Amino acid sequence: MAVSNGPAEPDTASVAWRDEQLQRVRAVFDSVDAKAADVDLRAKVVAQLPDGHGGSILGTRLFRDLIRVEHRPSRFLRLLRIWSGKVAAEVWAGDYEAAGRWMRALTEAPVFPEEFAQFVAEAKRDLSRDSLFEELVTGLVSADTPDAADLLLASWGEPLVEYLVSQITVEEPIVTRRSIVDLLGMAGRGDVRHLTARLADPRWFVVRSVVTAIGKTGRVSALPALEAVAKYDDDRVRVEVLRAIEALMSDEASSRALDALADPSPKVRQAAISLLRASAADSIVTGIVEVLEAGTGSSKDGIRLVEIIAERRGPQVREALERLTVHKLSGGVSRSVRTAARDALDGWSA
Amino acid sequence: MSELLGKSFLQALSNASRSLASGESEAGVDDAVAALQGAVEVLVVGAGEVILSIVDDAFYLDKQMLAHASTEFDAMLSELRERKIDSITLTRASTTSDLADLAALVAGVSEDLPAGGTVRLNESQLRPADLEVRPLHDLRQPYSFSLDTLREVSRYGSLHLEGVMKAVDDLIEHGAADASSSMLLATVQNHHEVTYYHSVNVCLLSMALGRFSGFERDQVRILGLAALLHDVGRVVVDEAALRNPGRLGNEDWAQVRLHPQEGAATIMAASGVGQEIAAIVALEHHIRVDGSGYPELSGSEPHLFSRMVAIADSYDAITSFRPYRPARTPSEALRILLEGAGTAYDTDLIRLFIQMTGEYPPGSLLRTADGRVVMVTDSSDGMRGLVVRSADGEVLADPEPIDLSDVEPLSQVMAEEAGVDPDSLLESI
Repeated sequence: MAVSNGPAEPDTASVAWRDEQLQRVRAVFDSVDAKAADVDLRAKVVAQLPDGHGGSILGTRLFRDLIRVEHRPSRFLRLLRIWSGKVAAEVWAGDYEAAGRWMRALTEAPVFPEEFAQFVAEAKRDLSRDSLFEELVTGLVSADTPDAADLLLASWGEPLVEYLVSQITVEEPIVTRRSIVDLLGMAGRGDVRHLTARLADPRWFVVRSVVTAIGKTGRVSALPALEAVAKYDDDRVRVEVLRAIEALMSDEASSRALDALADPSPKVRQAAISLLRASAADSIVTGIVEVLEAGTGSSKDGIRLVEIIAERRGPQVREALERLTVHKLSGGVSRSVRTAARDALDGWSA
Repeated sequence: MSELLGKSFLQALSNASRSLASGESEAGVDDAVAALQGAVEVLVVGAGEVILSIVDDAFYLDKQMLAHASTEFDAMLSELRERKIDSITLTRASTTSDLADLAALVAGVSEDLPAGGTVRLNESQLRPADLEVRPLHDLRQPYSFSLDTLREVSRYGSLHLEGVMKAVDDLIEHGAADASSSMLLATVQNHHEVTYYHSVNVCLLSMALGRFSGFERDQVRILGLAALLHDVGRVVVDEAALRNPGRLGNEDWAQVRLHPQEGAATIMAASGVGQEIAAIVALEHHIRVDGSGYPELSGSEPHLFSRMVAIADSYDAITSFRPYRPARTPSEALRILLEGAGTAYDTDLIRLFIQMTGEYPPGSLLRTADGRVVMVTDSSDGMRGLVVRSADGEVLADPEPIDLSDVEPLSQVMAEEAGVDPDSLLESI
């Protein structure tokens, strides 16, 4: 049934067949001429689908794009609030790897406009709340894979170091001091200067923990700072310095251990002997002989050092032991060391 | 064609209430009310009186659902429901005074009911059993729900991804991933809420493309979420600027260019499944595959979903009216997309999109060799449509189904050229 007429018939031109455009559309169809080709095309597209994982990887990539192009202060601050929320949310969720990605999205190789550096510093400080640190530290200690937090702790830096150091000084820290020192070591990996600066702390127990933590960072750039506290008054600190240097330098630290054999503290000398025993370097044999010939240290220390030489199998060992058996009229090795060397020589075979 | 007349009445009522609400001049309001009276006069011709009912979130003209118009005038539907208006009885004698009261009531500027008795409210109530349900109705409700979620973003300035995902799930549940249904419904436009309607249309088109490309449901829903939110930066920032007639000025344009990063930040400020991809799509949907576009990012290729949404975004924008240019035909849109293949758009995805839509996407109006005008309703597995205008130029009240497999169209025409309203035609499907 016809109920109304339309408007006047449109002119031919206005409704003319868009031949060209439709031919071109049709050409696209024609170019995908076989059913198999369609299947291939779909498979090619489906293959590009995200795998459903790595949300935080996409999110942090996006975030870096956003802070790169955002030049409006108010909007940049909004992005920082979003960032802060993301880091905190991942920490609370126990996903330390994702939290680390978010932390680094802002701090690593900064892409934001230079004029917003102060905003970033403030945002990082605002994020560094004790409540969040408490959640992080307790969560990490009970986590199966605390190493997942490596990047997070390393990039958090100074505020986290400050919090952890404060935990060393309280009577009842939220986790064991050993755990705190472990975390301090991880926190210092990004920039070990956050830790070395703490070596000036007036409290010996803080310095000792920080020295231990520095040893865990693997950062040899901290060696000069450790050397600076190598003669610290408290021998407990000196022991840790020795161990930290050994941790950072391994066999190259043996000269420091040999020097420590002359330390007035038995604890330090004991630590040095332990480190020398653990050293795989044959070069320590000559060094030990020279120390024994100098006649420093106790008889007990001397006997243990002879044992360290005798435990080795290098060609220089026999020569060293024989050298230690020689009695010199003035100075030289003690009788107990000569006896120990002779006994060792009797039982030694290359 | 009652559907068309029903829609015309709703359009006139919407215009009149907006005139009153915006404080337009007396002459402007008079003109709008006069137009409303004209629409009523045409509507009641031959009937004496007609009843427009509101039942279950849809408009009914007598017993017939105005599915498409219910979606287009979704905001007015909500306003009427808020004012507890279930039906409007319009008579041949409806006066300008009563109609002005009705418009003022809808606009919320007056609590006065039409006093003259020529427009009567809540006089008639339809029972659900009386209603005629149309297939598109299934999709219309989730479409409205999707619009509401975007309105809430605008109203509160924040986003709840869970609610948006629910809207997407509802769309999928009701068949949105089906290409033909989606493309038909995606022809809905609203000049007052351009971005909201555009966003839902892009969502429908993107999900259809995803499904057509062989995506699993979970992937389609993330794509749908990203597409629905791709312009959320506009929702927050510059809806008013978009309504300005004419081309955008430099300032407005600069503002518009910020909407990708605005949208991405808004999405990232929320939390929920698919958030990262949705934010990436919001940021990247104006970046072309050759790396140009905006904003200028680090240079990596846009995400797959960004490339898909970019195509749906352009297709809907080209086929929609904008204050500075008229809408273009679907095939013209395909031509423009094709021209941009390899530079603006991903060539593979363009191919899939065109395969999905067919040469004549659903909603297209075609003129056949014998002079009939046909609206395409389904382009999959053999094209089908409705004859909406006969060979002698008469608009048919009851469009006739037609199998278009063997019909070679002579031309594609715009609705104005053909003298028909595709929106109201969709009520017939």
